[in-house]
Amino acid sequence: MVHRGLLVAAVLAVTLSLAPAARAAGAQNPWPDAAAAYLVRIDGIERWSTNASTRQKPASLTKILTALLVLESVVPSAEVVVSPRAARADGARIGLAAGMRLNAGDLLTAMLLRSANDACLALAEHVAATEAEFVKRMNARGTALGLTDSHFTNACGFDAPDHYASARDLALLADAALAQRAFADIVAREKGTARTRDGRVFRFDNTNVLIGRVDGARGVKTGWTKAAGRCLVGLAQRGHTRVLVILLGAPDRWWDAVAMIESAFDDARGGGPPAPMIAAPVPK
Amino acid sequence: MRPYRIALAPVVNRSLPCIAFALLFATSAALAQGGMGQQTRTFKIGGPDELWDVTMKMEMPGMPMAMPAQTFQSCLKKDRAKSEDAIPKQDNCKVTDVKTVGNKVSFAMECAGNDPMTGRGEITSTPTSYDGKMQMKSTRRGQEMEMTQTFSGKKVGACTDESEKMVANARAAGDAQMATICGQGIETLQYELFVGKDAACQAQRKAFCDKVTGLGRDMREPAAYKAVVAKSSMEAVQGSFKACNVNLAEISKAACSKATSTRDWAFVGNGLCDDDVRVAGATHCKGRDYYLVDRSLTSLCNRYARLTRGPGTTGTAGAPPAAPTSTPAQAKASEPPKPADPLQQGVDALRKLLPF
Repeated sequence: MVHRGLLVAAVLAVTLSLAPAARAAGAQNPWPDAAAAYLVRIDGIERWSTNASTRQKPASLTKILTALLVLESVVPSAEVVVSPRAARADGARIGLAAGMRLNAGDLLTAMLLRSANDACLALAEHVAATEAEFVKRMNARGTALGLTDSHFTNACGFDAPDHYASARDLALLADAALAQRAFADIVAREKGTARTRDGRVFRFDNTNVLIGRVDGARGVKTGWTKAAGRCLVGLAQRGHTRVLVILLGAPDRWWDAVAMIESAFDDARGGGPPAPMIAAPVPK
Repeated sequence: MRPYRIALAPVVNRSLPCIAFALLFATSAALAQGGMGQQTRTFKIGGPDELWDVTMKMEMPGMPMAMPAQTFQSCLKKDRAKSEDAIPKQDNCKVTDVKTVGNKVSFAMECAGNDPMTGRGEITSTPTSYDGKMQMKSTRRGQEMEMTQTFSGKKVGACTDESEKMVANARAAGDAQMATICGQGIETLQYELFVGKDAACQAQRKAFCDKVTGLGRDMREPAAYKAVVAKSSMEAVQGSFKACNVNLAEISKAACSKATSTRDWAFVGNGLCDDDVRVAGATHCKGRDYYLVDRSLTSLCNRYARLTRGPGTTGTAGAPPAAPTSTPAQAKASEPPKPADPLQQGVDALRKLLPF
């Protein structure tokens, strides 16, 4: 009887001691099934996450680093000649042909909004002569940024064994890229155009569908490959509050990103009254 | 030198002592303020009272150099001999033993405080001038000090003391400003101005709550609700209605119901209509691909996602199902193809059910 009482007491004690930890863990990861890895930051502070430091396939989120290097290397008005290799790029593309001449700024827009791999390769080759050389610079820049769980083997995000990044690293990378005003301006656009020097115009939509649908959405970058799954770096700002979400391998990334962003703004308000309805997005 | 102040014990009713008291007051005031440059009273030439030029000089034995004489103007009430207004109310010093002989008044003075002083003085005056002298003694740190103050005055014309008028004007301006602030506070629902024992606009609390009650009637319509929130803030609306005991929840519910019936989804998704969002969202959002949702519904569907997937919810049971997973032939860095047609969606859904 005494032993049984002790056992009950011990079980109770263990249960009580574990309960707060369990609650805390639940609070930190409210979306356990949303993604292979995700991270939600409010004003630069991590609020919710799971597997944020694990190495994942970043798919086209890689292009954030490519864009950063391009912006640090050439002016937007620089003329870029599309190489035959760039013109043959797989996956998403805007249809560039070898020999076409475009501004680097227009190619950046195509790379970031349409996730165009032909534009991506053309830029990488313009900056470093070859993609391989550009990739060396990517890894050096990543190291300089403090990306400890990232490594890149190509400029545009194609799946490869040694091509990986963590959600936490991608948040750091997004910070660095967003510090470039040109980057922030481009990724927030809902639509874009790229014009060749001889007048041909390519028109495309931003693949980030949150823009125009979520109040304060400012884009950034989407990504997808078979191995990586659906990925997103999304930014939204309301008033002075900035919410950054990183999703890697997220089957339902849009709905979950919306839930994360709305929850983050609710959280930032401290559970206060909802935002005035004048802030609601205007249907277009 | 430490300034001394004068407390006048007797209320005298003759012009001569009154001049002396006024002079002493003017002198002490001038000393207290550090001279003419910082005189606190203001005068306007032309008026019922008398403008006097006053000169005074202080001498203290042992000082390395003589203090220069100071001259300033003072406005004295014309009826000061009959009015207590002419008698300054000063602490620390009191005038006693006032004696008047002809046009001369003599008096004794005692000042208390850290450096107590005693002394005697006399003033000779005419209706348009006066001359006086006062000798004071003080003991400071065991050392006895003496000082002699001489003063003279000359009537130079008429004046009006503007100080009281300025105070009255300032008070009126302050009252007007406060009335403006309170009026604006009513319009913008700054309930803190009207609530609480020390609220600045407590007197207008009824007007404030009448306004809130009136708004409450209008806000059953979503457009009016939006307008009120846009003009102030949601926090202000909530605080104001609570302060005036007006049931905002019931009003919000009525507005939400109206917005749902008129398909005003931007209003429904604003965070106040969550019961309506759960019902309408299940119809208009659940099971759809996010990028296929009509933009007029995004406010509703964003809130629906928050309610069914966010922290504090019961999980994702009521959430939209996962978007169809496409399986492109190659692993390319690009966006997944969006489902082109219902057949493709069916194929994708079937794939999810298969164990490979």
